Amino acid sequence: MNDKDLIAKLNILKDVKPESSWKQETRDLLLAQISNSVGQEVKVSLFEAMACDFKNFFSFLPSTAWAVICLMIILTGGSFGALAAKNSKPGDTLYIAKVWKEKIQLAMTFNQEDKAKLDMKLASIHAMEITEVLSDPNFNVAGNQKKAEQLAQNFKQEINTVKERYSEINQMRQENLALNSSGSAVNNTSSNLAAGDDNAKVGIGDIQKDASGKVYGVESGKDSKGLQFYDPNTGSKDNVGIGRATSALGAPQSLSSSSGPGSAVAHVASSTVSASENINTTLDKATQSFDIKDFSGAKDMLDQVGKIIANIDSGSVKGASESGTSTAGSGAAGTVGSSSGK
Amino acid sequence: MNKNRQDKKLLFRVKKKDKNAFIAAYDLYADEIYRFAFFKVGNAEEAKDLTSAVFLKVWNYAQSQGLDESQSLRAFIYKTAKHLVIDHYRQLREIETRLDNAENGLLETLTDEKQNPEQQAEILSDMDLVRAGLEKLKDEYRDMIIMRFVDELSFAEIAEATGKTAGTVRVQTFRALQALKDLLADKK
Repeated sequence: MNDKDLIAKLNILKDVKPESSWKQETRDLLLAQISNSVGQEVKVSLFEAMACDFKNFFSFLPSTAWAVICLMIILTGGSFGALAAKNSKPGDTLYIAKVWKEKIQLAMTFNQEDKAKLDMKLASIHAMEITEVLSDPNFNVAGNQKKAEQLAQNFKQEINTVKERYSEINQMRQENLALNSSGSAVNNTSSNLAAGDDNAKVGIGDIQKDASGKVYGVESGKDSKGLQFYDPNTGSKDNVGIGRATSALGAPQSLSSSSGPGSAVAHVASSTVSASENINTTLDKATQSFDIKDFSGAKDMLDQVGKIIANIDSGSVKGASESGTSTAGSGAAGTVGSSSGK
Repeated sequence: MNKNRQDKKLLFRVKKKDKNAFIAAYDLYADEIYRFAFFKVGNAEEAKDLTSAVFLKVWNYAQSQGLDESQSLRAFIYKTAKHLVIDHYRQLREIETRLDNAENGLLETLTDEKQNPEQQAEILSDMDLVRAGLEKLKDEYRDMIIMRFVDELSFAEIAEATGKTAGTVRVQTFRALQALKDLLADKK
């Protein structure tokens, strides 16, 4: 006898049933007994019944499948939300999703410098968004006065954030420079660079210090393309410590060929304005424009700030530090600030 | 699947102390519980008494303790039936009479006047065979066979009713069927 036959025989036992009369009698008796015990009629609401039906409908799925489905819904919903929120501005419904996405991005950035760069970038984008919202004529209605004031405050906070982060990045790089150059075998002729003595000559690989004695770079004598620098103030072209506005943190003040096309010599404009002063100045100008409600002017300034930040991100001065490293044999990074060599 | 969903719906409502839902559960499961009790005690009258007692006990339990930990109303009713049968055994003085009563009970239940003698004989012959085999099986295996192949409970329901895991139930059901098959083969 195989299993099938045996089960077929067992199925005959299904016919074992009580008499229907007995079943009905017992039913009535049971109903009478339980009716006495129930205090009040309990009704199941339609919502509860539907919730139960919904739950039971999918009860065949194992719990792991539910977990996977929920996770997929969250990820898909999150992706769509993030996509939809991408172009949202302050005041939009989905702007909060954008803010959260940025917070998560920041939280997931573990390198301090990268974090500061990202925060700075986001703050400048926020400032730009605020100017765009305030410059929209549809926004500037009587009912939005409070919002406008709040946005103005936020704008100033974002500007301060950009300044603070920039300063932090500056400081981090200076600390890195100090660490890199402290172990180098460079002949430190910095004693020649007494505080305020800008006329001292320094050789390639020498540590550069500012007036306060703080190390800010190592002189390579060349720029990122290996070109000699021309100081328009002195007319000198030798590889002395020439102040450059090409810093690790700022765009060059100006670079132009000295004469005619094809000239490989870069010019550096006045080197008295450091890159950090440059960005701070631009930000201040943006704030001033904002205050006088010149939003397009503020946007232009913020565009420039964005370009400076982009230069930081792209590491446009990496070449300087690398060439500095290769020529000087030290691990120095690019220069920050300026000094004039004569 | 439909029966499962119906069971869950009834459980939900019985938890809310809906007496109509409980009566609906009685209509649905009374035959099965009677059958389960019958194959345990071997006597129709005792099986009827036990069936009434089971449903009353389930209702009282639902009122007092709630059925929060239960996943299946059907399994809970079977579990209650099992406990009551054990209590009944304790009260029985002569366990041997159970086997004789089973045969008589089956005869009365399965055969009726409309069947011709040959049909009756065939049924009885098959039943004799299966019954004899079931008798020789241990209680645990017999329960598995009745619940799984006669009353068609799911492994999860049997697991809840017996307090075992579904995996264990699956294995034991297979073994029970094999044991019954071996017994019947020996009989022949």
